[in-house]
Order: sequence, then C-alpha cells, then structure tokens
Amino acid sequence: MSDVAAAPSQSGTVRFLRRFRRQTLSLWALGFLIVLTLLAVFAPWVAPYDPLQQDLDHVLEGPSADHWFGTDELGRDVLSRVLFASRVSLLAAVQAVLIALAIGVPPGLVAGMWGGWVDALIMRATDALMSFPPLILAVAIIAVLGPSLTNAMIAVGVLLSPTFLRLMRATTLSVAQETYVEAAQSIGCTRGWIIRKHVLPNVVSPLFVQISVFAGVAMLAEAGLSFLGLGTQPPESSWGAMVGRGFRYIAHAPSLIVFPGLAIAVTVLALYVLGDGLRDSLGRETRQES
Amino acid sequence: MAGPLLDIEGLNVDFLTDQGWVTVVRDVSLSVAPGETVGLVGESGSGKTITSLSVMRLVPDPPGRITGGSIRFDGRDLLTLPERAMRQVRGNDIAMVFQESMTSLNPAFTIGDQIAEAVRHHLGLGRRAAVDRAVEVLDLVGIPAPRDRVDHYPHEFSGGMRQRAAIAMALACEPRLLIADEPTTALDVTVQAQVLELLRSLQQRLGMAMLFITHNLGVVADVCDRVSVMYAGQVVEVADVVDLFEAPAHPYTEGLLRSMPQLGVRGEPLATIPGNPPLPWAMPEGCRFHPRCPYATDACRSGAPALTERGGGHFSRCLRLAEIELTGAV
Amino acid sequence: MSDRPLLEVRDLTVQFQLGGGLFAPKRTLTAVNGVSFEVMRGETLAIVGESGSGKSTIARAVMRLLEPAAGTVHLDGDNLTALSGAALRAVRPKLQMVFQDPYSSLDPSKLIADIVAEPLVVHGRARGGDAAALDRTVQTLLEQVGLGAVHMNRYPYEFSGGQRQRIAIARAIALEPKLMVLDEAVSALDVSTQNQILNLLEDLRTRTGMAYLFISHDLGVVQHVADRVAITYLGRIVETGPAARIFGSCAHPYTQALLSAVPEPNPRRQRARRHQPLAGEIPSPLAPPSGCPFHARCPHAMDVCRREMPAHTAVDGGGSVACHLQTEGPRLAGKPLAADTPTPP
Ligand SMILES: Nc1ncnc2c1ncn2[C@@H]1O[C@H](COP(=O)(O)OP(=O)(O)OP(=O)(O)O)[C@@H](O)[C@H]1O
Ligand SMILES: Nc1ncnc2c1ncn2[C@@H]1O[C@H](COP(=O)(O)OP(=O)(O)OP(=O)(O)O)[C@@H](O)[C@H]1O
Ligand code: SF4
Ligand SMILES: [Mg+2]
Ligand SMILES: [Mg+2]
Repeated sequence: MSDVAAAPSQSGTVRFLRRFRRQTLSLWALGFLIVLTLLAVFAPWVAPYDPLQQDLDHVLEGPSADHWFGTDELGRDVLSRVLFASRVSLLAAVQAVLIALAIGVPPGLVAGMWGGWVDALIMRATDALMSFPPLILAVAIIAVLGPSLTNAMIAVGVLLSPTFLRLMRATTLSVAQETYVEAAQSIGCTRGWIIRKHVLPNVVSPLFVQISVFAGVAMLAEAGLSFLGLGTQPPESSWGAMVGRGFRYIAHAPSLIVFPGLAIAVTVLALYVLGDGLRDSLGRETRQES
Repeated sequence: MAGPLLDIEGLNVDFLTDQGWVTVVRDVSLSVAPGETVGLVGESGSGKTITSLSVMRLVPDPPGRITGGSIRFDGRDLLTLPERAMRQVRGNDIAMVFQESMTSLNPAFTIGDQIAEAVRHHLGLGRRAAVDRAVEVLDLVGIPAPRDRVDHYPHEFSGGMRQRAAIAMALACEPRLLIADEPTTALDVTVQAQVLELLRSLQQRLGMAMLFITHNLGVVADVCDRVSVMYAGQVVEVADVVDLFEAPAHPYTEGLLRSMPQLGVRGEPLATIPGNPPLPWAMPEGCRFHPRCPYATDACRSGAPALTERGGGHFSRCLRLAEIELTGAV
Repeated sequence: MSDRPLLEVRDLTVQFQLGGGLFAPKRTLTAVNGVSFEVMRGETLAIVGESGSGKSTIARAVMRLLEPAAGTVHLDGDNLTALSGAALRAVRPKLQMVFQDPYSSLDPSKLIADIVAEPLVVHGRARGGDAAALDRTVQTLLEQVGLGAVHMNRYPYEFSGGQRQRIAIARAIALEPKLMVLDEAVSALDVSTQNQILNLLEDLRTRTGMAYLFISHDLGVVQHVADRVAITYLGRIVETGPAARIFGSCAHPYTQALLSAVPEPNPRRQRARRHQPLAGEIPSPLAPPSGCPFHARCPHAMDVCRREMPAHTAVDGGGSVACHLQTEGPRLAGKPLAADTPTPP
C-alpha cells in the first residue's frame, strides 16, 4: 500500500549530526575545544619549556621568538604555563559540572516524576539554596572545606546545581505528562522501565545544552575564585590564578594577564557557541510552534 | 468591496529534513476579505498548519523557512515586517487557535495567568482588569464556573475544555483576523455549535475575518463562505462553499465528500481515498494526486496541472477539469 | 461465548483533588459519578458525551491508570480495582488502549519496531530474546494494520497522523487483548484517513473477536461502529441503549440535542436547519447542580428536575434513561422527541 519506503531512514544520532554539520560557527567552536583538550592532554610534549623552570635573567619580558607569550616574574615561559594551566582549568570545569549534575539531576527527575509534596519539598529546598548570595555561599563552603581547587569547584557545582535541578524538573514534568508515558503504563511497564526507557532519553537533549553553557560558567567562576586566591593553590596554576598573579605586574608586563585572559575568554565563548548549536540541532521533532 | 484583509500570494515554505530541503507548501495563494470566513481543508500533512503559521510568521525556524511569496495583511507585507512590528500584529490584529491546545498552553501556568498575560501585553490592562477579562472570555466560550477555573492548570482541564480555553485566549484581544486550526475537533457537537455561534456573533459584531482549518465538512458547510482545498502542499481547489459541495471540480474533493460519515448505514465499509498522502520528499511527478486518483490518465502522470478557473471564481488544479463530471454531496 | 460480560463496571466514581495551595482550600472534583455499564465479548460499546463529561476519566479508570474513589471494574472475572503492582501488570495484556493524540502517544525517541515490540518485551513474550523472531512478530503486526517491514526502522515523526494511529493499534493488538479502549482514537484524523482506520478496526474485530470500548463525540462515526451506546453528561450516564434505538428514537433531551447538533455536510441544508444551540450554562463538576445535571440546559425542564436526581428507567427498544420525562412528563419514549431528530434510512 504505502510507499514511504522510498526514503531511507536515519537514527537520531545521524539526524543530529546532519543538522549539526550545518552550524558552521558551532563546528569551529567544537574544533577549538577539541584542539584545546588535546593540547592540555599532551602539554608535557607540546610545551616548549618546563613551566616551573625559572630563568631569573629574563623576567617579565614581552613576547619574543624564544618566548612567544613572554615570561613571568620568575622568568618562566608563559606559553608553557598557559598550556599546563589549561589542564587545571578544563578539569576544574568538568569537575564543577559533574558535581552540579550529580546534585541537581536526580532530585529534579524525582520532583518532576513524583510531583505532589515530594516536588514541593525539593523545590522549597532549592529556593532556600538559591536565596543565598552566590559569592557568600561559595566563600562559606570554601571556608568550611578549606581553600583548594576541588573545594572551590564543589562550591561552584553546588551553586550551579539548582539550575540543573529546575531544568530537569521542568523537562521531566512535561515529558511525564506526555501521552506516551501513560501509554507505557497502560501496557504494564514498571516505573523504573518508564524512567529509563521513556523519560531519560527525552530529557537529555536540553541537559546537553546546559552542560555546555555551564562548563563556560564554571570556568569563569574558577577563574574568579582563583583570582581571589580561593581556588588553585601554588605551585599548581590555572588560567584564573595566572591572571590573579599577573595582575601585580600589569604595568610592566601586560602579556602576563592578556594571554591567560584570552584563553579564558575564547574557551568560554566556544562553549557558549557550542551550546547554541546543540540547542538548534537537538531540537526534538515537533510539528508545532514553540 | 474593499481589498482583501489577508492576501497570500505564491507562498513557498521549505523544511530541512534528513532528505535535505523539501518544499512542504508550494505556491499557495489564498485571500480572506474583511468579515469573511474562508475554510482550509485537506488531508493530514497537506500543509494547512504550516500555511497558517506562515501568516503569523511562526514557522519553526530552524528547520522551516519561508522561501517565497508574499503575505499582505491590510496592505502591509508581513514577511518583510520587522519582528517588533510583527509582535504587535500577532495577538492584536491576528490571533491563532492552535491545533494542539495542549502544546499551546503552558503547563506551568494557570489558564487565567496565560490569558491575562496576553491581554495585559496587548491591551495594556492592569493585573486585576486582565484577570477579569480572562474570566469574561472563559465564560464566553462556555467554561463553567470561570471564576474558579482561571486558577486551574491546563492538565486539570479536559481536552475539550483546553480547546475552549485556547479559543478564549485568542478572542481576548478581539483580533481582526482569527486563524483557527481545528478549533472544534475536540468538542462535542452541542459545544461545537455554541462555539461556532459565538464565532459568528463576534464576526458580526467586530467584522472579524476567519481562516478556518478543519477536517469536518459539516463544520465547513456551517461556517465557511469560501473554501480552499489543499493536497500535498498545494491548493487544489478554491470555490464558494455551496459550489464546492454541490459541484466539486477536483477528484480529491470528490473523494473527501464521499468519505464524509453520514448518519447512516452500519456494517458496510466506509468510503476512503485509497493509499496514503505522499511524503514531501517523494512527491509524485505530474499531478500530485494521480497515484490515488480514479480519473488519472497518462497525461496526469507527466504534466503538472495549474490552478485553472472553471468559472465564477471556482478554481481547480486538475488536467481533466473540462472532461470529467464529478459528483458532490447529496 | 459466555453471557457473562467481558467488562463490568459498577458504580464507578472518580474524584480529583484540586487546589490545596498554601491558602486555597482543597476542593473535590467528581469527574465520574456512579457510572455502571458492561461490555460483552466481541461487542462495541460507544461512550458519547460532552467534553469534560468524564469519558477519558472512565477510560483511564478502566485501564487502572488512575485510582477510582469508589466502584469496581471486573474484566473477564478479575476484579481490576483490587489488583495492583505485579498482579495488575499480569492482567494488562487483556486490555489495551489507543489514545486520542497520535502525535504524543508514541515516544519520539524510539524506533517503530521498538514501539510495537515494547509490550511483548515488557511481558516477557519476546521468545527468549530471539531478536529475529521478535522482528518477524512485529512485522506481522504491522502488516495487520496495513504497514510493513519497511516502516520498522523509522521514527514516529516520519509518519502522518493516520499512520501513527495504525502503529498505535499494532502495538495495542500485540498482546492479543480481549478489550481495546479507544479514546477518541480517530478524532484527530481527516475523514478519509478516519474511515481507513474505522474499516481496519472493524476488520480486526471480525478476525479476532475483540471487544471495543469506543469513546467518541462524533455521532456519525459512532453510528457506524457501535452495537450499543452510552451517553454521558457531567460524569453520569444519562442514557444507554442499542445503537439502533438511540439513533432511531432517543429518550433523553441531551441525546436529542446531540443528534440535532451534528452539522450536515451540505451548506444549503445545514444553514436552513441551523438553530439556536442549547442555551444555558454548562454546569461545573466542581459545583454540580441539584436534581438532574442537564436541567439548566434542558428545553423540557420541569420543577421536579431541579429538585430530584432522576433514576434510570427502562426504555422500550432496550436500554435505560435517567430523565423525569419518563415518569412525570408527557411520555416521549418510542418516538423522536422533536421533528428534526435525523432519522436514519
Ligand atoms: N517541524 C517540522 N519539521 C519537518 N517537517 C515538518 C515540520 N512541521 C511540519 N512538517 C511537514 O510539513 C508538512 C505540512 O504539515 P502541516 O502541519 O502543515 O500539515 P496539516 O495540513 O496541518 O496536517 P494536519 O491535518 O495533520 O494538521 C508535513 O508533511 C509535515 O511533515
Ligand atoms: N488530572 C486531573 N486533575 C484534575 N481534574 C481533572 C483531571 N483530569 C480530568 N479532570 C477533570 O475531570 C473532568 C472530566 O474530564 P475528562 O478528561 O474525563 O473529560 P472528557 O469527557 O474526556 O472530555 P473531552 O471530550 O474534552 O476529552 C473535567 O472536568 C476535568 O477538568
Ligand atoms: S430530567 Fe428533566 S431536566 Fe433532566 S433531562 Fe429530563 S427533562 Fe430535562
Ligand atoms: Mg495541522
Ligand atoms: Mg477526553
């Protein structure tokens, strides 16, 4: 009878890839992030100098053929330091996002799925958490746990988690009201099956978008906290910490903050652009206006 | 008569699918005069909703894109209007009742908040007045106990009540053109009759024009002055409503009329148009209806017919327009 | 065929708790109020009624998708209302449902093959995980609804509304149910597609002997498919009877209003017969009126109607009606209430 067969079908992934491929800007952003990650992983091999090797004959120099990004107050090569710091910065962002996901997603899912008083309770708790001024909350967490990068990122993760929670709750709520969830119930699926097979696959796309954006936010937060001395502790260094210490020499060697600063700005921008592209390509196949 | 209020000319809408760009609305022209009701009927997926969304400039982009044609409303081309001005047109001048009332109502807000929001935005009413207006329009569309119901969430309404709430929302700002996409499909016939009566009276009072999308030919017979029939992204017939029913000029329309379930015999199979509508990326050559048309000839398989006037403002997109005798509703 | 009904619903009442915010008091909405009906094996019972009259709620209570406040639902001897958890899941194969909206009733992230196979997998009927056998079963199911193997590896968004409804039906018949609940299963489809699905359902019924609980507000459709009809109004059944009797000589003023409000697909005739729709407020289920639920809109309402709830009384020609006209007023049963009730040939 029908001859719909004419067109070959694709999986959701292929469909996503086809759409994503058309987002030129996002492709560039993705490319940049991949290169950055590779550079971070292979920093010991690509960095021209040991990032800790001091050269007191050449301190606070501007960019040159020997030192592309110049040197710092102890004569260390800034390019190498930026490369090594990228490991810390990227890892910190990943940490914060993972923590935010771990704290935010399960209760969001539960609130959206169960509703009623469970939902009310979770949302009240979230509101309470969000009513603290973020910086004070972060400083408080770090004061309790002690200043270290991981603790700083726990603080950032806690701060970001309510957004994941709300996003998760809202999408779960709307998916849980879809008829296909009721339909699954009507054929005798258990609740666990429904959550695994029908709810989760349909709530992850908006999550991906948010993850990408929040990785950028986390990176900025890490930079801010490290700048204030609350994050990365020496001798380890992140981009934010580099900016923080370079600040003292801003008059003599602006390159000390320009390069790590640029690294932060471009990476955060790339993450945002990627998030935008994901949003457009992951759009569910709906037949109606938004 | 003044010029048409809404004048769509040669509209083309493309969608980006896995099969690349496909044209889902092809060269559609349509006009609605002030105070007139034009019906838009046709098979599922024929492009009725996309055509009406184009008027509101709400075609989801991506993946959709209006690639040609003009849409003039009251002399202004809506397609070139800046988004700011367009927002003013939406809701104020043109309102739309969406096909899926569930998706057009936000599950997170009460019905009253959503209507009040719309009227505050467009009519500049205060909070209290806006809520009063919401109660008033809910009452108008026959929602019982509207004072209580404004505080309810969409999932607490039955399907039909949600549809009425959506109609109320569209009517709240007294638009000059109402685009109603299957507004009564979820309603029982007595409420449907009430809603149609309400729309008619608003039309008389405000001179509101309507573009009325429906599958129900009984409703078409009841409310429409003129009808455009769509098939596979094209308009295949345009006629005055009586002409269309009594002397259809396109075989698809004939099939549609024949499929109308009459209050009648039980047991024997119902008449259908054999086969399924074509998918937009696999449109048949020639006349797009030919694989399902009982009158198709070799010519139909190769030559694409144009919309041709049979006389008296009755147009049909059929190569055999002059040769075949079609039967209408009895 | 035994003469015990396949589905027996007794005094079903379903309530929803509304509001209950910080300041708003909780309120009870009685969506279904003391409804009783039965469906025999292989029979089609149509439930017709106003929007908001509780049709979907009845369907969801029968499917045990929600908890009734009172009443029982027996299916094939099992008391569904007493079952829960695994015991309930074990009887689910006997009754399946097709939902109204073909666009939201199929999970957009699943392939058609998985959607149709899901009930078999969930109930462990996937023949020991033999993927090829499962594929063959799915293919047979799709063929039964007029689709084929070529559709298996596609996503729902690639299908039209009518095709999606076929997919939903294929999934529903996978477990060979004895009763299929169809909640406005064809309402969203255009007439020609609607007819294709109705023909398919009729065909399946003659082949498998399934019974249908067919919910609709389209009387034209109901007349084609129903053996018996129940008319609901404000959470109650106000009239039941064999389809021939309902369409020939209905006894309740609401049924009559329904029949005469069906628009005719003929502009001249429709405009000539178009008359004032029923006046009056549709009562709110939050504050149901005293007496007969229909009295505010009933053209024949008498004093007693405002005071007392009419009981169901038997009607000549089969079925029953809850209307005081049966006992108090001029008896109208046996002949059409008004001249313009459409009379079938
Ligand atoms: N978001 C989308 N992405 C891809 N294709 C789309 C999208 N929305 C609509 N289409 C396609 O555009 C075509 C026209 O759809 P449209 O919704 O206008 O049909 P319709 O005539 O309103 O049908 P119905 O009677 O079912 O509402 C269809 O082939 C549909 O598949
Ligand atoms: N989840 C819910 N919470 C609160 N009230 C509800 C809920 N579901 C339904 N109702 C109420 O129950 C009543 C009956 O609703 P139901 O959906 O059963 O009507 P219906 O007869 O199916 O109508 P329609 O033809 O419009 O689909 C309505 O007043 C509705 O507002
Ligand atoms: S009982 Fe009275 S009010 Fe109710 S329907 Fe019959 S006549 Fe009308
Ligand atoms: Mg549509
Ligand atoms: Mg319903």
